[in-house]
Amino acid sequence: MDLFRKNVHGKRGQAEIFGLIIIVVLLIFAFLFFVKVKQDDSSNVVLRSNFRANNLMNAIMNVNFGDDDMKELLKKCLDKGGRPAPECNVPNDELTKIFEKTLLEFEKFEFKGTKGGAEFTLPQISDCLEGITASPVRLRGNYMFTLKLCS
Amino acid sequence: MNKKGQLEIGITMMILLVFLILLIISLIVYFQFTYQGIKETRQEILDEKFSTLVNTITGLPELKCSTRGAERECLDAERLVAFGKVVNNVANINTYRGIKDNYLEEFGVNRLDVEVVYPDVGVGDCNQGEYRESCENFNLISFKNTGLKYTTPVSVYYPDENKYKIGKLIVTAEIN
Repeated sequence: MDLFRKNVHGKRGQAEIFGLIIIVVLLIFAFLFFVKVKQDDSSNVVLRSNFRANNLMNAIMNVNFGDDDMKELLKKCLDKGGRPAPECNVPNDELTKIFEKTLLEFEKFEFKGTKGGAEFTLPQISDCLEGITASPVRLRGNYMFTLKLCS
Repeated sequence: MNKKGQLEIGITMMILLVFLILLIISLIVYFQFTYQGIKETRQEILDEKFSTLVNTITGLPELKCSTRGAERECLDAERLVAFGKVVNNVANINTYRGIKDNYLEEFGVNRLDVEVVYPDVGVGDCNQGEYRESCENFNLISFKNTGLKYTTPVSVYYPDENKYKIGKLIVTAEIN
């Protein structure tokens, strides 16, 4: 009788350990599944091509403010020696607004315009080291504008 | 003897548990690499699909700006309105049967919108109202709202004002 009781207890102990192992394994798999599902909830696509940067650069250069367009405002800014000339305030503010409205939350940018020694840059330059660069826009009068987008 | 047996079972179970944990850790590492590979392939497919799609859409003569045959890199607001009306008009679906299906088959696009974001314009659907200059959303195609979304800035030209604004072309599509 005593031997029978010991055998029953031994088998119950075995079953409990097996049960425990199964629970631990199931918990680990549930955790892994949760992590994977949480990672895949984004439906927004970000491409590595410079298509977006080129499109944005083209849109920026075309956009109008009253009778002027951005090209003319940037040229005037560079003619006055670039920032901090007062002529650069409008393009600086408007470009910042444009980037806020067109870029994704995690995207950073570097917008630069040069003419001879004069340079116009937007403040986020230090944050955007490696990224996708749009084809530079060159305008008559030795002006050049570049745009880089970083994720 | 029984206690010894229990102890041995306990040790075996511990070894089994440690083995299982090691197995799971190695599986995680292995699947991480596989997952990275899958993600890379997915990105390549998306790059190819959406680059081609957006290039094609922005180059469609139905939407692109042109003056006497000379094309410019922008979308014409007048054409956006006309395109949206033709594709989404119920009467046209019956008259030109399959006009929607053709675009769906050709491009696999579930939804296509152009949203004007700069400068600030009014709020509303540009295909409906009379005052097209003060609306922000041109809905071009609207089959389904599900799928992957890709957004790219575009230049939108308003011919009657002779002005350019900045919009976002929003393509919702699925990878087939």
